[in-house]
Amino acid sequence: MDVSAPPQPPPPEEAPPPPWRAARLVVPEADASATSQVAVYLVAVYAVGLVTWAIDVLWPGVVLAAVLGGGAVVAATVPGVRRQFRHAPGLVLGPILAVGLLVLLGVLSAVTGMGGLFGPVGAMACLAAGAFVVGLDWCDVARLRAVPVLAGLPVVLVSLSDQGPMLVFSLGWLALAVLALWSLECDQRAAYVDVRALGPAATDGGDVGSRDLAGALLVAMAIGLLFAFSASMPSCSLSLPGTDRISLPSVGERLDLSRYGFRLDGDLPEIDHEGVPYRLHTTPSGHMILEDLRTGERYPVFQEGDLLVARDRNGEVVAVFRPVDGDPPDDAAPSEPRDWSGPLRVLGVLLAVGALTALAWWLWRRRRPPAPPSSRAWAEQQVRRLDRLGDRHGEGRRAAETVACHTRRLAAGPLPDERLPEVGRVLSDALFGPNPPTMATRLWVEQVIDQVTEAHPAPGRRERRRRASTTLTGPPPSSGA
Amino acid sequence: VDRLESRVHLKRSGITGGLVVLGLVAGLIGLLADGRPQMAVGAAVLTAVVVDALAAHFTVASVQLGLHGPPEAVAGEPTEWVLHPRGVRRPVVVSPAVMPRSPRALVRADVPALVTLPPTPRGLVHQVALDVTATGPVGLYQAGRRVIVPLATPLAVGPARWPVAVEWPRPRAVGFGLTQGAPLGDDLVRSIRPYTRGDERRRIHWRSTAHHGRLMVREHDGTGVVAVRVLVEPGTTGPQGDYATGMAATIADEALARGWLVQLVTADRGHAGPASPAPTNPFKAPHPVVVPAGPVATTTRAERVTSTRAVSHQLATAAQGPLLAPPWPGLTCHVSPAGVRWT
Repeated sequence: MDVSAPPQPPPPEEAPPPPWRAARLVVPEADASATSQVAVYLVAVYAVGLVTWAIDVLWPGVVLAAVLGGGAVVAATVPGVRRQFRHAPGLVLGPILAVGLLVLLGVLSAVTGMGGLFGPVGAMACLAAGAFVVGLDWCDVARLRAVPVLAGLPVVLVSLSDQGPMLVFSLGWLALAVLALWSLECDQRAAYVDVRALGPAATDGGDVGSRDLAGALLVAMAIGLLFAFSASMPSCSLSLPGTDRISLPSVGERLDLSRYGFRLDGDLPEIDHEGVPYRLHTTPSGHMILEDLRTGERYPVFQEGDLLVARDRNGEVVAVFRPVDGDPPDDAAPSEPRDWSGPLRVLGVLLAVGALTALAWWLWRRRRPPAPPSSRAWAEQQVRRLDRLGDRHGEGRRAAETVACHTRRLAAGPLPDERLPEVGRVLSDALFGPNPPTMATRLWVEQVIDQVTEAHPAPGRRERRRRASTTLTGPPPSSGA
Repeated sequence: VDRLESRVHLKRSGITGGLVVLGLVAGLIGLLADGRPQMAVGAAVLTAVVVDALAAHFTVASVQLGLHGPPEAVAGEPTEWVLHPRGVRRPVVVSPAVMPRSPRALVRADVPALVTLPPTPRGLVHQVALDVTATGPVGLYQAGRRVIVPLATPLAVGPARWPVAVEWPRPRAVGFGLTQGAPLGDDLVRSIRPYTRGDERRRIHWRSTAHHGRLMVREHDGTGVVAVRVLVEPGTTGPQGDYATGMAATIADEALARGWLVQLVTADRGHAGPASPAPTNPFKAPHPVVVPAGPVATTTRAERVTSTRAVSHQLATAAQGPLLAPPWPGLTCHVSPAGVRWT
């Protein structure tokens, strides 16, 4: 007894889609929380503020901070703004826009002869436009992570100016940067899917991030400070004999003790103040200590404005040393040309390091062999070749047509080669199957496509027109019809 | 169960290089210009990078994973597994080492949890490779380790049931026995049910019809045994083979539901597990976890199946090959990609 089932539908096309959310198959793209956005904004504003403070012009910093914040607010409130930055981040587009506007403004001012166009206000407007664009892309965690790092560069450069408590400023940036990066990392973790716990979850899971942050901050800052102070410690002696200029962290080389009447002919500076002989010592950390030569008592000396003030342990003033001439020498004296040798030396070293790094990178990229394409990439490449081949013969792959069906259609049509359906099957397996094709199979497929391409050159315009007309008008009626 | 684990690998994030360069530049400037702020920033930045990498490394190094899977699985459908993590100090991300990358689940504590593993093709799963990754406190480094959990019993991934319109042949008994749904005899009245089109008129139960006010018919159980043999020829591997085995599974399940005796005949390439490859870098190529049915089988399995699970287990490793089975007195059904044929 033979009972056959009715014809079955082809399986691949009508298979029910598995209940598997394809959107979750990639690493989640996390959105920055409001806290993270504010933290990153603070880091950026901190760097801008330091720069403007260093150049002693504050209004550009205020404008840039306001515009950047405005852009971020617009991005957070107006839906659809983020879609404009799918292909390029705002951190790239903003500077490009600013530089482009600056160049355009310069060209316009040169052509029209209106030099006022390229003034501070015009340049500031260009920079503000760039900052606004940067602020518009202020939502993605992966992109915001670059902001604290980029903000570190101006902080380091500004710290070279050696004005004010630069150590505090620099470590302030570091603290803000670590805080922002930690907050962004928390947002990234929150984007993952939590496993479905079968028991009670840990109650202190939310404190892990805080412990992370505190530990990282403490360790980093402690080691940084330790290294900084230990690396700049000149010696372990209690004093620096034979020096006429004492270096302090805050005043550097500018403190000239001879201005205050100290005698510098001995090993240590000495002075007679109100009939009491004193000697000035320097601690390894750079602090000055005044020693009463009669009693041997020692008092710390502080620079308060233009004065050197010695105080006892209760804070009472013991002695006050004023400049002998009474006038601040820095203001009264003619300004000396600034010594640029140090920054130029640093710049030269940086350029050399950068050039060496670029050279090493270029050599590494040059020697590294090209990575072998993965199975899927290879298959997609071959499918594109087949698509182009089909297009040249007027049999391009239709929408929703599988590769196997396309190769079968090509073999039955303009490219009569019996190996093409097998090529389609191999490519389909390579695209969607569990096992990648072997190298021999890859070579065979490429060889078949090459041979088919050579054996069937693309038809000329006349031939294509003839085929099109044949397709439109249908086959010619037979004579017997 | 023995576990194979790779060493801990580290991967930099996108900003780590920039941060290291910044720290080096700051430190260099500090050394050249004797600037304490620059040296402090440089040392602190580099320390933060090192601390982040160490934190990520030790987070991953301490994690141990156990895995308990389902008794069976269906090709093309995700499966639920129970994950037993141990040594989780900070949040770690667990993901199956398969391609395409599957959802990554965040594990925050040593609590058993359900995880979903991605669909697998038909075959036997001898081991499951999981990638355990963790980031440092500020996400500058990502540490990862690949953990391979061999399964004590290989998980059989059977075919998905494929709906097939079968014209069932008239059953014939091959022996005596009390079997539910057997066609012979009217010895045992099983139940009364409403009349449906096609029921024989002689099975109408008039007393129940009068009681319910509508036509009711008797259902009987006979004492004969109907046996059916399903010969499966999947053809090539891939969708075609899944289609044929899916139809065979549907037919076998329906025959079992009818109370028939079902024998499944498949060509099988055996159950020997593959040599387990060493776990590799979790940030690179995935780990092969599924052994698909081979193209050519060497042995014939002719076994009586009594449950849908047994059907799935046998069809998981069915492959194309010669079917050498002893004579069969009952119905025989040939299932191949071309369709279903009864003899």
